[in-house]
Amino acid sequence: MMRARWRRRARLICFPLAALVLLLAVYTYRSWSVGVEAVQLESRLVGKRLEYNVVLPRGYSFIASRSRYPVLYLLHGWNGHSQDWLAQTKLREYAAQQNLIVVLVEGENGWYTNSATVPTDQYEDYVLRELIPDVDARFRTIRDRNGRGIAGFSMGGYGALKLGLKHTEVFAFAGSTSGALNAARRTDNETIMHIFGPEDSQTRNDNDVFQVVRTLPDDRLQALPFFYMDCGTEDPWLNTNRAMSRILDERKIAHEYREFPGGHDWKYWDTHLPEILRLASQKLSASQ
Amino acid sequence: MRSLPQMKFMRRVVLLVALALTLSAYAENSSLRVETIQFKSKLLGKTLPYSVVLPASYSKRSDDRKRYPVLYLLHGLDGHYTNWLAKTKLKEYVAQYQMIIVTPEGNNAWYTDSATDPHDQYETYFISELIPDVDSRFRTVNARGGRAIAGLSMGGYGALKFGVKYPDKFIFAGSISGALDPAVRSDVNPRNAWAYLRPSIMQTFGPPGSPTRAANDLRQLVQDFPVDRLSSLPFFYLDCGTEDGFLTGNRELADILLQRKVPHEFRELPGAHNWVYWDAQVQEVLKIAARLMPSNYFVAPSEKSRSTF
Repeated sequence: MMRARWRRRARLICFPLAALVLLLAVYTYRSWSVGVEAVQLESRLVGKRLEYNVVLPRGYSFIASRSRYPVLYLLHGWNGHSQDWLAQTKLREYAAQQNLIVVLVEGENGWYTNSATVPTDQYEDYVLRELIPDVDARFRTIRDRNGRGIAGFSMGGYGALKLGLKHTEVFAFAGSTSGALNAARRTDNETIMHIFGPEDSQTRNDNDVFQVVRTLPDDRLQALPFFYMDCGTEDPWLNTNRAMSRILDERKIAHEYREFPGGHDWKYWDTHLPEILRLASQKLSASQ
Repeated sequence: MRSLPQMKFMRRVVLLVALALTLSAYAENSSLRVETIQFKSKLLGKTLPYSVVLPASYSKRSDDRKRYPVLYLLHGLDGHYTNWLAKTKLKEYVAQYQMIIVTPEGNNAWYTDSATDPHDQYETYFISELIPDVDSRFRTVNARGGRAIAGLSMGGYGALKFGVKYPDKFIFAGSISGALDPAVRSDVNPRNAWAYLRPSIMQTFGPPGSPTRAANDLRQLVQDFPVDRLSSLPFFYLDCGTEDGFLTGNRELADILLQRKVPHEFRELPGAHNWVYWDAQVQEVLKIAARLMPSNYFVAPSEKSRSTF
């Protein structure tokens, strides 16, 4: 009799206890792995919904955590979308090595530039005036220049360098991998014409990164973010990247430039993404 | 129920075991060793010492058969074999890798068989005396897949040159701030830092047009490398600071490597020709060397793993 009652009592305690332990384990596992969130941002500037994705570092969602983290904004390439990074690279795995928030920006085919032809296609202003404030409001970010970096590949590499050059007070790090840096000088592509307009447009002049670097006043050079660029030796944009590195060099602008074997493809971008994340967390202030 | 003395005894045993484990873990961690070999070169007729950094897991027990890949690190002009260990935190950086580091003595001889002094055969010394000595003294992976070479300034030139001239010996050749063009420099074509470089370059390479210059012109060697053998070359790495006078020479070689489609990596980054830069970049070289010579390939060599080289 006595024994049976004890057994019943033990069972009564053991089951909830086991369930609690299991829940705790799941919770700890979830909060210590990298989380991805999708945010639907209604852009008033562009006049439509632009979804962005956020990769949160390990421990971000831990209940007691109040840490703030630096943010790296990643820009996709031409004919791409924000989720490309998650689908085509091992970003989750790489992000687990670093203590930063990674925001995957949706930029459509807008070259991260305010269009010369369609007044609502303000893809540069969208990033600065809508996306960044939204991210800073929703997530525990370090809300200043020293906690903010931007990088991208191809069209996104152009976008990252350009935004870094034009908005020195916003970013402390700007990285380009296989950057299509001659964007504002091209006329061979419909989206280019749509965004940058005719050959002599003011938009082209304002968004030509070569021109921007050449005409930067000397006293503004110190305020620039740290620039990183790399390019594959089989990439059609190699000469463009070399030319940019030389101009940065002539103007004595602090930067690192690397050439690796490889082409203009996801294999290359996946290979070199960990290094960009590493450099970004090295250059941005640590989590608080 | 155990008696009280028995409990006490058990507690002591547990404590002792824990202590022993802690101590052995500590000993294992701290046993990264540096040895210096006073090597007597028959070719040069003198002693050329070299230092060896052995990984913590490298044991002296005769029954241990684990072999390690080797990275040779060459010093610069007016430097010696001790520089890398004395002027960088190399020991600290290498602790995370399963790799042996060798720092040879090269004096001011540009790692080249001298055109003016028949005794100063520093290239032949390196290939036919030093490497065999290292491979016989230490449990190295005595094969191309486990041997890499890198250096700074004059040593960067030496490393890349050895990579091009002995592609069957090295899987990786790296240059940090390389002074890559000594064989083309003369009073007619001085280039940067000529006053500083002139004595050792003239001593080693002889007057313009000398056979030694022709045989050791790195850029020419890459240009003339037979196209059907390009895939036999080691992977090349070169970097240079944007405030370094040798930047132009590095860009020129990177251009030639590119034209000839030789797999390589080239980096330009803020920095000058000094130990601050070299201390930072030797970490990058170690990382690449470790990637190209993964140590777990060598634990139990089988036909399969061998074929990957």
